Amino acid sequence: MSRSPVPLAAVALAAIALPAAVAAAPGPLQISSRVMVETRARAADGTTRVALAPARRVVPGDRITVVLAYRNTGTQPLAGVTLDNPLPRGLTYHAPAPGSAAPAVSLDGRRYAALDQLRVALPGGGTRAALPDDVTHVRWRLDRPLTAGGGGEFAFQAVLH
Amino acid sequence: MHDNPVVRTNALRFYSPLTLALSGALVVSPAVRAQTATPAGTVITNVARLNVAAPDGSTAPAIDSNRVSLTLAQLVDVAVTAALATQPVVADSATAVAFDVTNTGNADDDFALSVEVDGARATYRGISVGGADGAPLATPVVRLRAGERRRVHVLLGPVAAGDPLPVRLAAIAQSASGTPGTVTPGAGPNGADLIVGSGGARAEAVTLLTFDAAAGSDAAMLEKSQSVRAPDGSTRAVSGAVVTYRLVARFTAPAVAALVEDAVPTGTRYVAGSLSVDARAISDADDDDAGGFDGAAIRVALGDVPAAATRTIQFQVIIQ
Repeated sequence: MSRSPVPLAAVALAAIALPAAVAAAPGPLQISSRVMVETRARAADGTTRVALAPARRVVPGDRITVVLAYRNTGTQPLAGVTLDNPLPRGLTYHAPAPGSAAPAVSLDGRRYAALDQLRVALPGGGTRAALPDDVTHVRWRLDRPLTAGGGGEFAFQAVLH
Repeated sequence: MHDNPVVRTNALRFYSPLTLALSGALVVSPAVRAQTATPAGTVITNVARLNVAAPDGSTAPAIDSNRVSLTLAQLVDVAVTAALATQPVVADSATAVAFDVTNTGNADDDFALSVEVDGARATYRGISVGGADGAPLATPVVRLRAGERRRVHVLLGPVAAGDPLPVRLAAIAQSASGTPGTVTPGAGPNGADLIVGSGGARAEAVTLLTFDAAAGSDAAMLEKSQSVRAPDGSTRAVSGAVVTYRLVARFTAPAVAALVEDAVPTGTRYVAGSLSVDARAISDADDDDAGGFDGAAIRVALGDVPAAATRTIQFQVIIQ
């Protein structure tokens, strides 16, 4: 198994404790997020087309899709890449978006697993199966090094509450 | 102690047959429950992170994505439900009809209330937010927090007997109402847009008043029984014996916000965790479930009981 010898500028970022604002500066690894809503348009033939459009006006109960795009703009492959998305207050995890790999999820930001592997402790003792509502973080781990110039997208659906 | 078990619903009081030397009471109280929706104007910001493992196995600082912010628009809507679909009333007596008004939006709002009832059959006296015996509001408007539900009573003068009489309560949000989806840009808190919800920010509900000769005479009844188990296995009421009380509430007509209260008798100690309703355990704490023990009495809220029904409450005490 081949591994990149030195992860280049990513390590430079690690060595210097940069302020958060600078940490977001373009490096060899880039990540961007966008929030989309499902729009439904009635076509002339009577069918309904569902398309994703940037979210502008949202109310509780709306379902949104969070799309994370990542790219290695450097010249060396990068190993051990993970994408994390803590769910902000007001958003409840729903499911992976159609076409996206399912994320590992966490109920506390520490332990990650498939949703059906997690259980929630009950106040009176005992546990129950974890539900999408319980999820606080989602994570994708790239199981292969990200090649130079390589990139992709992951997406999940969430509901505003 | 030789009080009768007491049953009370809709401000009527009844006495069940004297069976035991202990009291139980079934009373009416207003019910309020709030839901939690994220408030209008809240800015929800999403940031994702990339992590790369360093060659020595340590983790480099995360790389943050751009921040995507959404400002939650103000949703305006309301729901009205009748406590009872049909309510038996006694002809020629004053009547209070209970409805629940819920702010299903995500911001505080005022809701104007209006009542429709045949004036030839009943005199409309107003709307109370202070229970069936409360005074009518000077202006029929209630202010509700986001998600708040409020019980209101339509107060009617003597109701003339006859066919079932509909009583209709309507509520309209004051910040906006009309066609669902109508947007007022920037009118919400924090510059958020304001949107009329799917219900058009107006709602109504109807209760049908029915005239039943039996109404008011035996609408609800509470029967209490006990069983004793002494430490020696006998049923003697000696120190250390456990007494299991069984309160059976029988509703021969619908009841609003029925509540059962029963004091633990002097000389006995409540057995922690022994309270149940229809064989489902109810915690002693004053929490979200339907009842508890406050140190002197058990309390169980049975809620609105729509039709003839039976509820069985059980708890235990130890004779000291």
